[in-house]
Amino acid sequence: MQSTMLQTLRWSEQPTRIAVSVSAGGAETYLQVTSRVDVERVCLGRPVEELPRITSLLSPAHHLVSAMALDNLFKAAPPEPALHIRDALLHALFAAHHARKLYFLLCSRDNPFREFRLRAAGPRVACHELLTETMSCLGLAQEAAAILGGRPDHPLSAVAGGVGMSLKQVHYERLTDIAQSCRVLAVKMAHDFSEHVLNDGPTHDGLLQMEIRPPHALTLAQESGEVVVRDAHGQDVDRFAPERIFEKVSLHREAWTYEPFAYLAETGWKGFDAEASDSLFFVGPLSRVCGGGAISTPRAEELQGQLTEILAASPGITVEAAFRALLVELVAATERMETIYRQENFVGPSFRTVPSVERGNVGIAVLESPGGFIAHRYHVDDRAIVQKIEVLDAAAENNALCCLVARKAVEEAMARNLRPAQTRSMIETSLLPFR
Amino acid sequence: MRRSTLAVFTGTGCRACEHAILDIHHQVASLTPAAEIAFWPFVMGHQWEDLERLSHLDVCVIAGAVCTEDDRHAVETLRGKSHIMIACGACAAFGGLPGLANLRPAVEEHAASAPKEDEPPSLPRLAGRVSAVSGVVEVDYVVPGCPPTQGLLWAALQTVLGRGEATSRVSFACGRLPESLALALTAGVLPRKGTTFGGEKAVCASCSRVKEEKKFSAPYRPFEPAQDTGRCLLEQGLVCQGLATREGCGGLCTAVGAPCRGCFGKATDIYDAGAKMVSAISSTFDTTDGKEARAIADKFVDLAGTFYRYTLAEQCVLLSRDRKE
Repeated sequence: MQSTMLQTLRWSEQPTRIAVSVSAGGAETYLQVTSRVDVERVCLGRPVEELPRITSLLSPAHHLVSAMALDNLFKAAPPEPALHIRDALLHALFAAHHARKLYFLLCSRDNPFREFRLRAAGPRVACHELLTETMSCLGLAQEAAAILGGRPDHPLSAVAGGVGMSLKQVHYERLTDIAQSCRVLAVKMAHDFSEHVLNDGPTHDGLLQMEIRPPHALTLAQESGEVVVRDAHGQDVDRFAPERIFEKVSLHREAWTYEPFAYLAETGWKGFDAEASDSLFFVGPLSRVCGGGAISTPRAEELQGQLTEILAASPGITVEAAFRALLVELVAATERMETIYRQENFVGPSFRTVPSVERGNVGIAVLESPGGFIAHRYHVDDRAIVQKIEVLDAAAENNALCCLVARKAVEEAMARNLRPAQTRSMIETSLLPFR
Repeated sequence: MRRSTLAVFTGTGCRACEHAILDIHHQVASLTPAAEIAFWPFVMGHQWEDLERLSHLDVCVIAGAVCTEDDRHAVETLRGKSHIMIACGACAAFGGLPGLANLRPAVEEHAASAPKEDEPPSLPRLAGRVSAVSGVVEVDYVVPGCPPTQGLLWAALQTVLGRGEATSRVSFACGRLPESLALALTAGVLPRKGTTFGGEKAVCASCSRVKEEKKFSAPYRPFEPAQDTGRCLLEQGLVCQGLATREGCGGLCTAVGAPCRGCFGKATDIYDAGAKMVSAISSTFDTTDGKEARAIADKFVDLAGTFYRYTLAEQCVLLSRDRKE
């Protein structure tokens, strides 16, 4: 038996490697997360109001879902301006997250730190300009997140019952400018990526057309607020209230990775084979764009229509479709930013509802984060100290899909006799839009 | 001029520090004349073999905490090859949020036996205790923060890579650094080893909130009272660690109404941040009666997790493995 270890993978938020064992029976591919922060151990015993800041180490959106869980725990509905500030922050996080993924895609075959003048003089001038646009969009979205959240990477502003700060005149004006610029950049990026990157199959060794049979998709329905599970044909398999998420989804642990795998509890864990298993589901931009309902902003809706046509042409999902979903959501987020980032949305008599004394002992919330569906549930004692915490980070934990993608990429690479470096690059780029 | 070789690596953490480097945007590319990125797995896809092949690194920026045997091996290997090592962020410098796990024993550990034929590959063994990079090897400089502010991070990179070519772009950072460090930075001279790229004073020095009189009869938790806009959080009874924490962030958290939690580590000349906070807070109790003072003290919760939120692994004297004093 021959074994290969590809360590470590680019652009992975956790230390991740690929182990491939080749024997007469075929190749076995393992996507191993080799270390992770033990959030449960970190959070147990902490005052519950500290969790929005602590759990933001998972990703910035966890700050928001944690604050929502506190709203639920303390029975404190945030005032409208606070909801707008949180919503505005979420859209900035969407734009920054997706722009960063697209930035990495652009850098996948080039050294991003080459001098600009050399890059600009090369044969891929269009990509150089696109890189500049992408960096600008990312930078602006992060600036908005810093204004609205205090910091872009680990936000601070959301608290139980609202937000801990109000905005100033200078912020309103700057946010309006940022939203306009981001929208213009995002629309241009959507066009340029389609023209110069996603249509340019040979430059990515054809991997953008790599196709896998999708498992179920799990999203939060915009209209009803319910959690929806759909099969590969877009048919509803299950619908339930967000409060039932920890009954409906369980975590499976394997000895070869520190990251657990999320699966549908009623179906039970059946392994990673998508052909045989109906217990796996995927989350994230492609899941939302395909099954989360219509997008209400004009340019993004148009792009969503184009993507639906592409998806209708084949039974599986391609890496290209996943990148296109990022573009659709990037445009949608910036269009929403332009609508929300107005002074009248951010002003009001109060920004925080002081929680009532009739606090419960359990707080739960769910959110569609840029990476995918996330959920928090806290159990606290009489002093509001955390006794138990459940965090579902389906974008990270539902890496069964990523295992399927990695396995497929290894198969393709072996069929094409690619060298290990090319194989690794293929795996990294194909995983990029899904994590 | 020979370009410096640069490595960037994160142990166990959240990548925000590496994002912080990337987020300097166009300025990172302007480092190219001074630095050649020799090892950056997260962005450039370098493999461990690439690091083994390198005989020498000029500068290594290392982030994240040490939670597994792989993390430890990486830290020791990078230290062995690097002329200058910068601990970037609270996790690398003090253990950060992952270090809070040290308050609770690990439930289980994955075995790290050699994999057998037809068996799935094994995992690196988890360390029983989370450590900072600075707790495993000696680091030359520290850029604190969770994540570090871009001004300070850029100043550190300019200082160690720029070799006297620091420009006006670092003036922002210089304005927040101690004078000796700012002078070294603009002159292109390496600062003294062990230097922290942060201020010398406490966060209170740069916090914009109005300070009047630190007296309170009961501590409050952030979900309890509606805060007075603009007034010192500690004076309102909220536990804020600004007075024991190194300055340099500009009071980012307090500016949005969130109490400081000490991600820049303890301020200069403070022996133990927790002890300092206990001393400072107890002196503000608005009573001289012992029973009343005790009743106030009983209202505080999770002192260890609050006062050592980012520094438990390395700066808590009571848990220190090699206490000298």
